Amino acid sequence: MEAIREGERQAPAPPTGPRSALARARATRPEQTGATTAAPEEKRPNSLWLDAWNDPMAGAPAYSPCVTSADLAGDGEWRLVVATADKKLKTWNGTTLASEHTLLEVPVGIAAFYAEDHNNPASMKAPSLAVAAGCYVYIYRNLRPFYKFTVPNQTVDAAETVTWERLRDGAIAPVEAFETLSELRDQGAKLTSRSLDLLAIEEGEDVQARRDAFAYGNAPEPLTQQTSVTCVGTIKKRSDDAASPDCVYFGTESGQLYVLHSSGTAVRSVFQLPAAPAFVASTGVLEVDYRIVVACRDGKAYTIKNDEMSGVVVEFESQPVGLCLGGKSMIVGCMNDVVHAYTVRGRKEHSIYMPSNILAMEELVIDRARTSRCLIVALGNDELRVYNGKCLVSTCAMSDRVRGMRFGRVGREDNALALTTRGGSVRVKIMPRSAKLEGSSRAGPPAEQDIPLAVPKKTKLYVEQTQRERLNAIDMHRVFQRDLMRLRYETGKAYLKVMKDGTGPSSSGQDGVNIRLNATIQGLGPLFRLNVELKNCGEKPVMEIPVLVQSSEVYKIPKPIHRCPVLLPGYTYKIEVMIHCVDPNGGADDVHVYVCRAEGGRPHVNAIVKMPMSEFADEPR
Amino acid sequence: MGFFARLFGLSKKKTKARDVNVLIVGLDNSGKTSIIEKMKLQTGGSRRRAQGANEVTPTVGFNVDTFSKGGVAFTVFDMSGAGRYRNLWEQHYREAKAVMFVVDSADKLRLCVAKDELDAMLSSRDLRGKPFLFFANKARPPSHWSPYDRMDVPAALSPVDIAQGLSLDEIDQHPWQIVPSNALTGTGLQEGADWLTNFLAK
Repeated sequence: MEAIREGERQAPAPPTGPRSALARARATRPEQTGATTAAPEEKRPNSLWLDAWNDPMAGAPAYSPCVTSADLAGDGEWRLVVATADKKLKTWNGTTLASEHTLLEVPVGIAAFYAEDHNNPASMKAPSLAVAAGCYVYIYRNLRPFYKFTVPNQTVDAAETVTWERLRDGAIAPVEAFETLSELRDQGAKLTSRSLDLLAIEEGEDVQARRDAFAYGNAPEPLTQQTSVTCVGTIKKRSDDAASPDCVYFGTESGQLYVLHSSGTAVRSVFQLPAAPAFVASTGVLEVDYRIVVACRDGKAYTIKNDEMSGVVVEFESQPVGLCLGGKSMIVGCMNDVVHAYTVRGRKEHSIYMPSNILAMEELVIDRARTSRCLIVALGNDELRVYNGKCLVSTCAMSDRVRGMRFGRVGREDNALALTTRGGSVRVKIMPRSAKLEGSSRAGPPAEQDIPLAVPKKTKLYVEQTQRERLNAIDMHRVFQRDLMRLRYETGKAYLKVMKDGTGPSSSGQDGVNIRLNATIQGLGPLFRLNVELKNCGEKPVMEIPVLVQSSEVYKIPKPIHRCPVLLPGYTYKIEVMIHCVDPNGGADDVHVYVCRAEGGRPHVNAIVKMPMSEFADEPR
Repeated sequence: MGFFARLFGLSKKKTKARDVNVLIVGLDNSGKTSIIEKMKLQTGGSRRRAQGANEVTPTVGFNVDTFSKGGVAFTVFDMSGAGRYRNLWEQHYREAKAVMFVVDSADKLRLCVAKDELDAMLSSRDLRGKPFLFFANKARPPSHWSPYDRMDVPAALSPVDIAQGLSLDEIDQHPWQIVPSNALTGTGLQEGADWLTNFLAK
């Protein structure tokens, strides 16, 4: 007879969340910023990276577009440049903070470029810095502010301009202006932010007064529409040499892509895109053959090829979170944790499914005997992965969430990866000369196929058994069938008995009553709570049901009998019974739950709850 | 018999002259060529080029220099430290009797790269048991050794920091010594060369 154990201990699980958070906090505890370089937790025997430097107190919260490195002094020592989210432009020479400038606005991206200045040829020896922030591109030369490029104003709808002019001249009242602008908006005209602000005043008691104040306050100013920069990049102008002049290009909120002249002070060309660019990357040389790929906020990537919008449009499954353009392929990381690689003509090459969300992506190019191109991906599970094509080359655990990454020359080291993390720390990892970037190419069948299965040897016993089975096949089958039938019969008999005795999880339903009982235990002791759930699975309501909870002397039950006045079909009723363990040793015993009949006799259903071991009482009694 | 006598004679003569090959390696811009140029000046040897030690250009491939010091005739293979030439170093491991490893004290960032290259050297069979002399080059006087970076003074590591960073205390297969040096002023070079000479003269 099988005992029905309905009780199940539901003690609260140990709090894993806070504990692991604590462990992480311990792992990111600031270490000394001095010479000892390698953090032991990140050192692995086969790691691809050397830990060159880690400054947890650098105070450089920045995303990838705001991290770069450049030979700012022209001495071959490349400075690490970070435009931080707290409006600072910081440069490091080696591991020393070399300069710090305050920015006027929060930067969206920086780029180092060799400006062409015919009046001042000496200025071409060291690169300038372009810092995009708000609606400006600030150009720093020798780390001194040199020029502020203002993004040209947008064209304003003529009808809108007229409306504001008439409002200014007093020809129309703010109410009429509001209606005109509202109509314009409904017709699909692109309104300026001023008009949109006015149209947005639509709630509150003194709506009309606020609208009037806003309209009269702003009307005297000429109507302009500014846009802001969303991303920035550089492209070589004439030749591929490292120190030849570059042109800066940047995308704007209103969906344009501006390419500036190499002086960085005038617009060379403008392209209108269907949506606001989010990421931009380029290959080639501007005056020879080039390609700029723009991943936009509409989840598509557009290509500009040799001063023309190309017909190649790649649509992603999800919003892009990173874009790399390396060699002949375009690599896009998407919000659904997938990295897609496309050819420049828009044909998909492969997809890599990541185990966690993509935080940052960066291309890794190493010029050795032959050029290796890999992809570095920082993931939300604190991993730093390197992919060669679609082969995973290395995985490196980080102790903090990565925010920005930049691979390139830092200091005098060509193959360095500069990282900024969520906590504002800066670290530099260096790829050693001996690093192997060739992923294990897995063409053809998987390696597991060549491993032979562990088939046991044919022993003498096995051979004899087979022989016997072959000779007495019919008898064996009959014996098996007979035993199977008997097992089924016994099971059925036992089930019937359970149903009759009312000891099953649900009552039999002989008298049209079918009640399902579920009992669970909560608590660690000595005080437990027994949750009894009753459900009437029959069709008729059942009245006046006493529920009895009974136990040995180990437990004290203050209120052992509960009365359910009515059980409606289909509803789940909950009864809470407090059980106090009075055993000084904290022993455990079974607790019986009976759902009885009002008229007495056999219970409808009962259950035995196996109680967990109890904790000792706090105060001695 | 005469042949053998001649052979012995020659070998005796050779031991008197103590002609040794020394390999000098280190990352680019650590000052290997400057150290050799200064050592040659100190020993009164002929200078390879008509320029001072201040104006060396990055070595391409490697240079071979000879000078004698303390009764030992050094033939120094001055290897280029640039990344693309570092694979040439191992070509000279077999014939080298000793290694001078130069570390740039001011280049804190690339100390791990130096350690990586050093570890590769130490695991080489051809260099087993050969002495290593480390120059903590571009050193400044001990009063300047400070764990804190100052924005006006370029950061520099003390020889202790470098020995720690390179895990020199874990080297048990090689005799080694670390010497703070400055190739421009010539400090420490004599001390290092003396250690090497004593070792090789044994």
